[in-house]
Amino acid sequence: MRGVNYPYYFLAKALKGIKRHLFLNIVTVVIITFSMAIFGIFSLLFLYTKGVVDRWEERMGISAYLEEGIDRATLKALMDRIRAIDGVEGVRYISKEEAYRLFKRELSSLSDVVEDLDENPLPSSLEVRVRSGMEVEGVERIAREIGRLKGVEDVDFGGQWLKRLATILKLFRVSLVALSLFLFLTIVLIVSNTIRLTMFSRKDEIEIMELVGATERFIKMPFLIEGFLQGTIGAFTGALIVLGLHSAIFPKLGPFFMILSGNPSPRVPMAGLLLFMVLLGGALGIAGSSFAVKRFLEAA
Amino acid sequence: MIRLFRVSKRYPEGVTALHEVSLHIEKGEFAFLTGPSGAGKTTLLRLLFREERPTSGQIIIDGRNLIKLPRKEVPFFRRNIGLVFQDFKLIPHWTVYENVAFALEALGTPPREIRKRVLRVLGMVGLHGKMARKAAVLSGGEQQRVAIARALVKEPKILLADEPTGNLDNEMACRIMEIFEEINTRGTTIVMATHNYELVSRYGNRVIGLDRGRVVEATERVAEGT
Ligand SMILES: Nc1ncnc2c1ncn2[C@@H]1O[C@H](COP(=O)(O)OP(=O)(O)O)[C@@H](O)[C@H]1O
Ligand SMILES: [Mg+2]
Repeated sequence: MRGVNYPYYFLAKALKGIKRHLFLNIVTVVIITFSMAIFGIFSLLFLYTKGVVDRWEERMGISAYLEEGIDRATLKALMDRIRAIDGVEGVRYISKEEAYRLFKRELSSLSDVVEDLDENPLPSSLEVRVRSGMEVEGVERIAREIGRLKGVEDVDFGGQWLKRLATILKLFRVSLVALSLFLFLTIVLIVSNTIRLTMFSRKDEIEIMELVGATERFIKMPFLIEGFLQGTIGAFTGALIVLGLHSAIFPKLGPFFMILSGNPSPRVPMAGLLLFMVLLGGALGIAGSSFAVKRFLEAA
Repeated sequence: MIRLFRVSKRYPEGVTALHEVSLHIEKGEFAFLTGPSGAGKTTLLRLLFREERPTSGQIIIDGRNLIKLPRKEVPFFRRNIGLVFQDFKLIPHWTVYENVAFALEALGTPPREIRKRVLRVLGMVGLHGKMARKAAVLSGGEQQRVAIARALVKEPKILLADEPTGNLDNEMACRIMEIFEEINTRGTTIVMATHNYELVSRYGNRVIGLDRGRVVEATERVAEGT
């Protein structure tokens, strides 16, 4: 007797509730849509930035520029010492001539000015490969250690700026989490408010339900479904907006990503993100309506 | 079936609506609860289905102590009780059918069973033809019959009816009494509040008389007519 279920019945009641407060429900859904779209857009931005930075980190190496006229013995000793440093995977010597060749090849596509140089201004260097997946901080430590060695004029590890970028990425992550929490809270509150208004307008009905022996679950269910529908529909349209913006803008960003990371279309888990948004919308809707129902029934 | 032991009810505003009422109503009885307006009839019925709790005293119904009944158990307790409210408590924008069906939906009765039982009970109270009307547009007497139908459709073990004939003409009142008698002979215990003394004397059931919150008269069967 306790277990008989009426999925269709509850759904019909929820839809009736939505129809009766159609305008309020539309406003709620629109707010959820925008909140979710904002969440989705910022998540995408974050994922792309992270993709680019990760790639940079992957390729991060250390260049140790050597003093002019370094002799072979010093060079040999220097390379051995660098190889002994923890985290270093390999060292390769690049002579002045090779450096110049590489430089010309890299830039030839962009400019011909290099042809005009009559003297090679580049120093010889050691290209140090570090263990892949190493954090910026670790690479920086190794670079500093190499910089102190005899025969090394200057070191460069692909970036103070990469370190700054990693910091910015961290900041981005924290802001994203804060923004998301704010948006999610907004959604919970707006759903909860809408459901509370619906419940107030059906106060007599709920009271009569209680008097004829309806269980709390039976009374609650249509309202929970209503909140779930608001959240899911709002999140779904929000996800559509994100998808639409993405397919409109992303293809045009290829060259930009090419320059940034050497890859015209970094992969982000788009489907996963959209699915997550929709599920989360439903969950937030249920959370908001549960909150309203609980408060309403406890007050009664 | 229904046992009250020194039950008092004082409303927060200070009105003492019931004063040390002790009663025992057996399974299968059909008792009238009489008394002038304000005697405490409605209050007593509200205590019996746990809409209110007594200020003091004990109430045992169908083996359950209502004082100790946890909140969560209240709906399950109410399932076995049919209620006819003095003010009907219908949902005005629902149809007659919906108002009656609802009492069964709330219990999780299968839909086919609901349809069958609602149609039968609406036929009993003579509202077959009006089942698609909104409750709000019905006359007082019709609304009362909807309220009665909603109580009967549950086929309850106990029927608590608060002035169920108050808005009905004589003929319809008799019809309702016939229905009550019939379900009573099939085993339903009935407590019916009324101040219609003519009705009380005509049927000669047990009478519990209330006056200003006290039991003033408790007979097994009223012999004399008026
Ligand atoms: N909810 C309430 N709050 C305060 N006083 C009430 C309430 N309900 C009833 N009363 C009072 O309790 C007394 C008994 O009322 P009631 O039980 O409705 O009597 P009856 O149904 O016999 O007319 C009356 O004095 C009435 O004013
Ligand atoms: Mg009364």
